[in-house]
Amino acid sequence: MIKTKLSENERAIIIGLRGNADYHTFMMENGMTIGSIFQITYSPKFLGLQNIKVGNKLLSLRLAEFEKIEWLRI
Amino acid sequence: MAADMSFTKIHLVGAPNSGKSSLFNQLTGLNQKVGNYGGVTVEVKTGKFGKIEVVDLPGLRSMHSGNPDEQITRKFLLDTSNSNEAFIYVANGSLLEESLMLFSEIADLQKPILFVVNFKDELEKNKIVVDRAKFERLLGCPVILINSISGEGIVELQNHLTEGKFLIPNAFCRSTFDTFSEGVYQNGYLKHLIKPTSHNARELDFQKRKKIISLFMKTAVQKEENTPLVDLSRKWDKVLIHPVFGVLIFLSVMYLTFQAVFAVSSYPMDWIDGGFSAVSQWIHGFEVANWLKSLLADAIVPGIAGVLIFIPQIAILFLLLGILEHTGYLSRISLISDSFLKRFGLSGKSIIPLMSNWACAIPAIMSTRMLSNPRERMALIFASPLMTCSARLPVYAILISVLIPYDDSKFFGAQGLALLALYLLGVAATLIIAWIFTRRTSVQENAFWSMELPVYRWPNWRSIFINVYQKTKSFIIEAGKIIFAISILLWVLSTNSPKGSDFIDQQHAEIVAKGGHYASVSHESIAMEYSYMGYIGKFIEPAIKPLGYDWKIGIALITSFAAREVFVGTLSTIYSIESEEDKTIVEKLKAEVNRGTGEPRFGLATVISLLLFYVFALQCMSTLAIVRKETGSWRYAIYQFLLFFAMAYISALAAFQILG
Repeated sequence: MIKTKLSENERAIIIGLRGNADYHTFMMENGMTIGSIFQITYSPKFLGLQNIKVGNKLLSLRLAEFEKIEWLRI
Repeated sequence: MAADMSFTKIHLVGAPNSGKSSLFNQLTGLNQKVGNYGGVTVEVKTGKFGKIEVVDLPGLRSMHSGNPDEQITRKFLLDTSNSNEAFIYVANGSLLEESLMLFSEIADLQKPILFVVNFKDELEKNKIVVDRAKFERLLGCPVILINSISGEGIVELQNHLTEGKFLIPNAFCRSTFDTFSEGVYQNGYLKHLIKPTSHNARELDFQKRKKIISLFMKTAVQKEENTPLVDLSRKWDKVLIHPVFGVLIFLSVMYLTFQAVFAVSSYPMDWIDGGFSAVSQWIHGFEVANWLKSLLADAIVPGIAGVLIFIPQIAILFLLLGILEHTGYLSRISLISDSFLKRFGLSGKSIIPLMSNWACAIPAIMSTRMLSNPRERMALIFASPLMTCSARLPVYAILISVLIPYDDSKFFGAQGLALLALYLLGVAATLIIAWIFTRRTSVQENAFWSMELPVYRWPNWRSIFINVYQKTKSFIIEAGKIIFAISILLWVLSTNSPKGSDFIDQQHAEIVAKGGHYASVSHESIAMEYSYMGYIGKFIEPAIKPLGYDWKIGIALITSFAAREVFVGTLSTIYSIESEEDKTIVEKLKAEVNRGTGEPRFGLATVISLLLFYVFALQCMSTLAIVRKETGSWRYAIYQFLLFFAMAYISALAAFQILG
């Protein structure tokens, strides 16, 4: 079975961003483009957010934004 | 490249949470002021370091960012008119690689700059070693490692400032946009920033910068894979944003904050109140003209007391908000509140402007500029004045004290709970109005949301105390001027009558002759009733009588349209003039009797009615002015004023009619 979700502490590389130019700009302002590596951090369900670590930066994204990222587990 | 050595103005620039403000406080100490930039209302702090003017610019994420605050910083950076200005770029040591992206964009503007790596201790804790000499060669400008919290490295930085050691850095990627014609390079980067060429060009530029930065980091910075400080923050997050513990801690922090504001500040407030009453009493014993004695004891001293009495509450509130912000916990509060605020058309980022309202609506409305979503920003500007500002705090504090006696045997007292309930009512009203606004408005909405979570760190006490000092000073000067002037005006209107003193003597004799509770009515009370102020109060009395207010409260309502806190000062002045005894303001309000019924004037129904009036009414001219400035028209300010006044009147009416 292929895992379609990342668990806490798992790392992935961004291989695509499924969104318009504004979404790409938004991700770029957060330091994320194709080739960026991120790690999943603790994100309790009630927040409705996905917390990640990009470089040394701790970042929180809404699930709708996070789900537009195409990633590859590393 | 060498730059001019004589700089008269230095701008601090960097990303949010890079410690710019702490560094600014280290450099300027108390020698600073807060002003608005060039006709707009973005708060820009300026201070002096020797003869050099230091400017703390709003945080910038990218030269392409579009928030109003960031636009101001961008404008400063793109301004080429002044040659004796230089920049200090402040990089967060924990996020050195990330900080280089913004630096690369600024470096390409080719302005004299100095690179400061802040939070040196965090570099060490994260096992990051910077080869300073190599880093300086790569960037092409001086690099200084500091800790703006402990002050480490500040002396070296000060020496650089004094000696004007700024250099024009190496350009990172100008060639992406530059053109070469007739043997000369044309700077295309500046043109691109002013009018972006295309999204693809920007993405290519970003990737190119990222590669160069990665190379720089490999060359000049040694770091390990694991980052202990970030990992420690992640461990703390498991507790502080936990669905059960996180929410419980959040609610406890909020509750303790309000208890501290009320319980701790009650002691110095009593000292100030009691002290000024004693001064008034002392002045009454002077052998000088009666009018001068009255002016000093009944107008000037109560007027000064009416300003100074709020200092403890304002200082404690800012101290606690400062601690929450400096430790990084405020960002976690944003995270916890996002899913809740989302239901009202807002986001977790709104929590900071929302909480800033607890201090004052003016900086809170100004701070909405950090929101990238125009709809969210307008909703917050519109609804924000319903949050409880520090000007409401003295009104609440006095009225609650009249209603509920202070019990110093309990830390979790009923007064604190009543105050918390009023704050929560303000929050609920704000959210409901914001929700209605976001559904009714045609203002454009941004689809994306993200939040950077700073690592937890020990608060910078020096910076917090400077901020507390600045905010308190600003309150004393700004609000104090109005309160003091109104106190004098009230005294003039209250001590002069169009009817003359014989008429007042006759009226007093007739009332006392009625006997019963009329027998104790003082001469001063009758003099006030027939003064100019008494006539103004009586003119509006029919409109406020259904709310349980008499003409004296009416006077306080009118004067507090200038600023809410004037309400307490007005009552203080009115009752100082009326009463020969030198009681505290709370004692005077408790002793005030409704002449018609013989019941206390400030009974349960009237106090609740007044509290509700002040929860909703937009009685602050400065707030209306700032809304006009931020929205660009009077439309929103007028809507707000009328809507909130209607809410205040109806709720106060309902409360008095039900409880009275």
